[in-house]
Amino acid sequence: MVKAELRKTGIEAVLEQRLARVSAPEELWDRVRYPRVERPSVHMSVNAARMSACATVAAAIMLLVWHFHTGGAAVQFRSSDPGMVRAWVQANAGIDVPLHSGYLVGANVNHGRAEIAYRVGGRDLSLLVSNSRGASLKNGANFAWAAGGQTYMLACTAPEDLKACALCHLGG
Amino acid sequence: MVLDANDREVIEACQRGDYDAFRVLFEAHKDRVYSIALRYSGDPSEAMDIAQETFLKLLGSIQDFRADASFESWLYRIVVNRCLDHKRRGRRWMPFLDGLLDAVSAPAENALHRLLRVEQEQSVQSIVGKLPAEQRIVVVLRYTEGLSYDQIAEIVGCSPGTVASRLNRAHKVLERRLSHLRGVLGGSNG
Repeated sequence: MVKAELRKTGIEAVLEQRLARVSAPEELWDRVRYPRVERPSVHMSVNAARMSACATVAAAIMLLVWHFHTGGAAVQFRSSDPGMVRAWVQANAGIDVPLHSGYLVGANVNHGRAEIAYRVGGRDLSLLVSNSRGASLKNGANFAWAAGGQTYMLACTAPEDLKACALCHLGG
Repeated sequence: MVLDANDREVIEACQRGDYDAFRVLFEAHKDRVYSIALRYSGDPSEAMDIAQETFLKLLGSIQDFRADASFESWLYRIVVNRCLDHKRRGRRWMPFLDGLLDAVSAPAENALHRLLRVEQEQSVQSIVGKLPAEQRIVVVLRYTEGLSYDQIAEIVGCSPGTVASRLNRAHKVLERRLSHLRGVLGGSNG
């Protein structure tokens, strides 16, 4: 095997040359700093692009209306991976929410406050997390508690909403 | 692959939640991560997705990194897993048309040379892209990163013998399919 490693054949030279390392595009940092949820399709006719734009606007309006009516899950960062959501919230709101698993949909950040979106029993719910101690109940929240220098707020309308505990606590 | 004192300090700062330190770590490893993703996927757009996911995963799990482990091996494992897990959204080789257009629009004396180079790169990349995933990742780690069989084995989680046999199988396929490039590449049999 050592011999095979040392002997450089023609194909090895070609591969070394043609698969060499390249520079990462500058915009990669922006993609990490402000993660993009979806990427636009590059193969699209003009008509398809127009139709897609109209559909996107219509969908955005519907989503906005739905969001205001239901407090629903329009999220800036969509992922069910606790590590990724935790990292994104930490990067964008400076809040470390010790997420573990379960029910996660994604997260929003707004004015230094994080909103962890999760889904239970077919309903979209959110756990609000703020760095300010003793923040008052907001957005219809009826549960608030402090932990690790952060205030957590939750709007519960059904016992199963408390499954939010499982977001941070194993077996919660 | 041993961390020096500066690397250690940067990683420890990341573990304390220092975002500037994460930027330093990003700058130090972005080319490595992006190149592996690009050479594996063959698609710059997909490579950006994989690289983004790798760094988000890194940011999210840096707390779990143990100081006595090799950071580079750990990072390689993250990017390799992201490559292997990445959903194949349908292979698109069209982005490489960008390279062809750049080559054609270059100054006249360089245009032909660049066109040839781009064509060769595309051929190699496209044929590598058709290898089975477990052979492709080994080829990328070997030729994009220049890693030894032992290092690749540690990252991929198999024996050095398996690495050697995967590379051997890949070489045979690539040699057959890339035979038309030999004349063009001439003296590259170094």
